[in-house]
Amino acid sequence: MDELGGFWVVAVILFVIGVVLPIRNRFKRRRDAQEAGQQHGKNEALFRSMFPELQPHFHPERLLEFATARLGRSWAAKPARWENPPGFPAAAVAEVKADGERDRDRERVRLLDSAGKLLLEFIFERHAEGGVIRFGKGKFTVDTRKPQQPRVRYWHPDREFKWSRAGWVFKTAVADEPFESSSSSSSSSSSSSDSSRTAAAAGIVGLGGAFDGGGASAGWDDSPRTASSAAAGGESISGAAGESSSETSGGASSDSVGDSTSDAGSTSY
Amino acid sequence: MDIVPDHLVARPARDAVALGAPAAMLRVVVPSLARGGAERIVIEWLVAEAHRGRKAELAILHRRRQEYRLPAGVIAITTIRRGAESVEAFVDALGARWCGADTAVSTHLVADALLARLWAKGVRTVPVIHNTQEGWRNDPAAWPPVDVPLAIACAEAVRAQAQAAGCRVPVLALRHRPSVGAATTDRGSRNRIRAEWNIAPGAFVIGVVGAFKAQKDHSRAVEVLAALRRTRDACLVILGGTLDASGYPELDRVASRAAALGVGGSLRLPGFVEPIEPWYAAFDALLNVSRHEGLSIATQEALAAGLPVIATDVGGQGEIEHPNLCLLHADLPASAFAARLAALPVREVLCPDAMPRFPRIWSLTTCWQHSARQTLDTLFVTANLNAGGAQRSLVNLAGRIAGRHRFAVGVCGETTHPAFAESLASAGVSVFRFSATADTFNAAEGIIAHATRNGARNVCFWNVDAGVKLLVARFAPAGLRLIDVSPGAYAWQELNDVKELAHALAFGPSAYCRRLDVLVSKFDDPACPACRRVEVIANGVALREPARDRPSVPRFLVSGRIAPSKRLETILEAFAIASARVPGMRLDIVGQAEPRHRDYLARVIAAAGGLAVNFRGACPGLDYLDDPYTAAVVLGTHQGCPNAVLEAMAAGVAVVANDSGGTRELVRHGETGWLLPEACTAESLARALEEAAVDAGRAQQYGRAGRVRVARNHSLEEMAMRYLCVFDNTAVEARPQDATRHWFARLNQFRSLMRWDLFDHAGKGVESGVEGAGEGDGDGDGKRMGA
Repeated sequence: MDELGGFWVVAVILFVIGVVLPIRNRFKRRRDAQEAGQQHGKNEALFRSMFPELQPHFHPERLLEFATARLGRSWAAKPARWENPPGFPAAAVAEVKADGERDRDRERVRLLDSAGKLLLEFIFERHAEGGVIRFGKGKFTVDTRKPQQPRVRYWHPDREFKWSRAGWVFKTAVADEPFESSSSSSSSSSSSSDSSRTAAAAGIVGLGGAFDGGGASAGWDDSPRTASSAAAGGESISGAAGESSSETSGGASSDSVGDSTSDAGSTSY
Repeated sequence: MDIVPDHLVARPARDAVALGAPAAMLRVVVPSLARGGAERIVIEWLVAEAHRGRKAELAILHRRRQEYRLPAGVIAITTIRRGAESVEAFVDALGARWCGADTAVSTHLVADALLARLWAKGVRTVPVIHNTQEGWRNDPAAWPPVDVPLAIACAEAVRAQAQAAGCRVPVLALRHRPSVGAATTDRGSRNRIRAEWNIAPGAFVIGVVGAFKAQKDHSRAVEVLAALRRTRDACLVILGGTLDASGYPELDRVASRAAALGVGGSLRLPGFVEPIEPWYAAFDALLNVSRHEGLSIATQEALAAGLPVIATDVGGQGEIEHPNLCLLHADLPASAFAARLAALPVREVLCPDAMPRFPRIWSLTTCWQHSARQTLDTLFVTANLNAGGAQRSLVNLAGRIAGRHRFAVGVCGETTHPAFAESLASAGVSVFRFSATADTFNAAEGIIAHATRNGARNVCFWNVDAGVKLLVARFAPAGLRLIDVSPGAYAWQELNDVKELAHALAFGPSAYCRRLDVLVSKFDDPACPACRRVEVIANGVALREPARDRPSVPRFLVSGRIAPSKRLETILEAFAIASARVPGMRLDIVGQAEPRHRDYLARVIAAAGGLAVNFRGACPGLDYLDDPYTAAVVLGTHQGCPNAVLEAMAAGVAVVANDSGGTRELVRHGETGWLLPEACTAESLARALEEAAVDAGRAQQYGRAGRVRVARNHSLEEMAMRYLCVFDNTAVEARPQDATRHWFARLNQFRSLMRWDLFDHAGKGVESGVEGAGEGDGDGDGKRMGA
C-alpha cells in the first residue's frame, strides 16, 4: 500500500510539473501579454490625447529610430538629402542642412512626402545623451547611450513625458503630479506613497508625493506628509519621479539641467 | 431746448435718511481653492461683494497646485491660509478669531469634525451642501440647530435629500449661476484651440468638464464618443484632472476605454485649463454623464455660452430650465446620448445666452444675528421716503402709533424729498437706510440683520421692491413674522416679474405668499392672492378744514407724482376738450417727476402748452388744499386706496376718478364725485370736468359728502388700531383699551364736520396727520432697486 501511495504522490507531482504548471504558465504568459497589450494601448491613448501637437509623426519609438539612424550617419556632410529617413514612414525625403554656421551640432531637418510637399520641419542636435529634437515649443531628448534601454523625454511649456520601453511617465495638467500607467505587478516599485499604492491597483499611479487639499470631492486626509508636501510644492516631484528608484536620481538630475534651465525653467521631473 | 423746469424734477436728497449699521464682514471657510464648483461659487460670491467694498475673510485649509486664483486687486478679501500647523490647530485658531462675531460663518465642504471645533469656540456655521447624497462628506442629521442656524443646499433636490436624511436645521436651496464672459463665444479662441489641439476643422467637438471622479463617469463619455464616431467625425475633450489619488482609477478607466474602443486619437485631455471660457467656444456641445450631480456649474456655463447640453437627469440637473438642455435618464446606453449628439450641428455661429446672475445671494445665508435683547416690535421697510402716497400712509401710521408700539423704519433706496423723513424724526421714530446705494441684496440683508439683532417680532413691507421681499421672505428666520402691506395689483405683478431671482432662490410668488404671516390689502381686492391671513385695512387721513371760498373760476387739482401711471396726458387732453367748452377753466398740477420720468414730464409740459395749467411742483405739506377747487382729478392704474382721493375728500373737494383698485370704495358716483371706467377716455373725463365746472353746487355737495365719508370710514386712529392688531397678532377689531380713544377720535371728527357744515369756516385740521405732496397710493413705481 505504501508503495502504491508513493506512486500516486510522484504521479501527481509529475502531473503538476509536467501538465498543470506549463498550462498555468501559458495562461499567465497569455494574460501578461494581454495586460501588456492593454497597458500599451492605454499609454498610447494617453499619449495621443494629451500630446496632440506630436501627432501623428512624433512618437518616441520613431524618434529613437530616427535619432539612432541619424547619429549613425556622417555628421559633417551638409546639406544632405536622405531618402526614406527612418522613423518617419510618411516622409520620402529628409533635407538636412546646418542650422547656422557657428553651431556645428545643430541641423535643420525638413521632411518631404513623395510629392515633394513639406511634411514637417525640426531641429536635430547632437547631445551627450544622444540627440535632441526641437519641434515647435517642445523638445525631445533621445537617450541612446544604452541601446537596450533607450529613453526619450519630452518637454513642452505645458506638458512633459518620459518614455522607455518599460512604460511612460506623464506630467500634464491632468494631474498635480507626474503619473504613469503601469500594471499592478510593476507599480508597487514605482512609488512608496500611500496614494500611489492605492491607485496602483487601478493601473495609473501618481508619482512624487502626496496630494493636498480637499477640493470638490477629495478626501480630507492631512497627514504630516501631505502637509509637508504642501509646503514643498513642486520640489517634491523631482525627487520621487522616475520609472524606478534606481534610475530616478540620476535621470531627474540630468533632466533638470536639460529641460528646466535651458528651456523655460519649468518644473522638472 | 429743455422745457423741463428744475423744480419739477425730484433730486436725490442724499442726507434725508441716515445710514444704518454697516453690513457685517463675511466669513467663509473652504478646504482649498481647487478648481471645483463649490470653490467657484465662493470666489464669485466674495468677489462680487468685494467689488462693492464689502469685506470678507476667506479661510483656506489646504493649498493646491491647481487652484483658482483670486482676481488681482481685490483688497476687500482677506485670505487666511494654513501654514505649518495642523488643520485642527488652524481651525481652532479660526474659532478664536471669529468667536465674537454676530453672524455665522459660511462653510463649504468642511467635514463635521472640523465644524465641531468651530462650534466649540462659539462660532455658528452655515454649511453648504454642494452635492447629492452620494457625494456628501457631512452628516446633516448630526448638525445641532444651536450651532447651525441654517444650512444651504445647491439645489432643491439636494435640500430634499438633506431633510429626508434627518437634518434638523432649516435647509434652503440656492441655485448658483456661474459667471460667463465673452471669451466663451470668441471665434478666434475656437480656431486657436482647435488648431493647437489638432482637431479637424469639420469635427464635431464634444466638451466634458469635470475632475476625474467616479461621479463624473468620464469613461462613459468615451463610450458615447465611440458610438458617435460611427456616424460622424467627432472629438471628445475632457477638461479637468485628478484632484487626488482617487482620480487615477478614473483616468485609467478613460484611457482603457479609449484604447479598447479605438478612439484614443479622438480624445483630448488638456487637464485643468485656465481660463476655461475659450474652450466653450471650441466646443459644439457639452456632454455631462454624471452619475450624480448637485447642480452642475459646467452645464450652466455651457448653456450661457450658447452650447447645447446633453446631460443625465440626476440630482438638481432637472432644476435647470433651458431649451438647450436635453436630459436623459442616467441608465440609458451610450448610444442614446450619441444619438442626441448626432443630431446637433458643428457650430457656425457662436451666440451667448447669458442669464441673470445673483452671486451675492450667498451673503444672506449668514446674515442672521444674535439677539440678546428685544428692542423692537416691528421693522417697517419701505423703498424710499419720496413724496408718494404709499410713503405718506406709512408716515401717517407711524405718527399715529409712535409711543404705542416699538418700531423703526428702514429705507431701501434713495429718497428724493426730506419732508417725510423729517416728519418721522420729529415724531421720535428711528429711520435709517440699509446702504448708501439702492441695492436689493444690501437691503434684504440689512432688513434681516436689523430685525434679528433687535429681536423684532415683525417685518412689515410697505411698498418694497419685489426682489427684496422675496429675499427677505426666503431667508428670514421662521419666528420672524412677515407682513406685506400691499398697495395693489402692482405688487403681485412685480413678484411675477422677478422670475430669475425666484428661480435662483427656489422660491417664487406662491412660496412667498405661503411664507407671509399677514397680507394687508388696502381695499377689498378679489384678486388678492391666497395667504395665511389677509386683512383689509384702508388708508386713514386727517380731516382738513375746507377752503373758505369757492373758486372764482372752475379750478381743478391733480396731485401726485408725474409718472405715466398717473395718466396725465389723458387728463390734459380732457382738460383741453373741457376748456374749449367752458372758458376760464384752470388746472393745478402738484407734484414732481422722478428723474427716470423726465422725458414723460417733458411730454406732459408740451401737452399743457396753451392751456391754463399751473405746475406747482412738490408741496411737502398739503397746503395747496387750502386753495378752493372745483374738483380733484385722480387717474391711476392698479390703485390701492389712493391718498390723493382721500385727502381731497377730507378737504371737502369733490373727486373725479377712474375705477381702479380700491377707488370705488371711496368715490361713489353721483354721491362723492364722478367715478369713471378704469380705462376712461379723455372725452368721458372731459364731460365729467365740464359737469363739475358748470354745476359748482353739485361739486360742492359731492365734496361735503366725501368729507363725511372720510370722517366715518377713514380716520387715522382706526387705521392705526387695525395695524396694531396685525402687529400684535390679534384679530383686527377695536380693542377695549383703545375703544374709548377711538370713539373720542370719531366724536372729534364729527364735531369738526358739523362745524364746517354749519358754519363753513376755515381752520386747522382736526387730526394731526403727516402731510406731504398729494399723490395717489398703490402705484408700484419708484421702488425698483439695483442689484
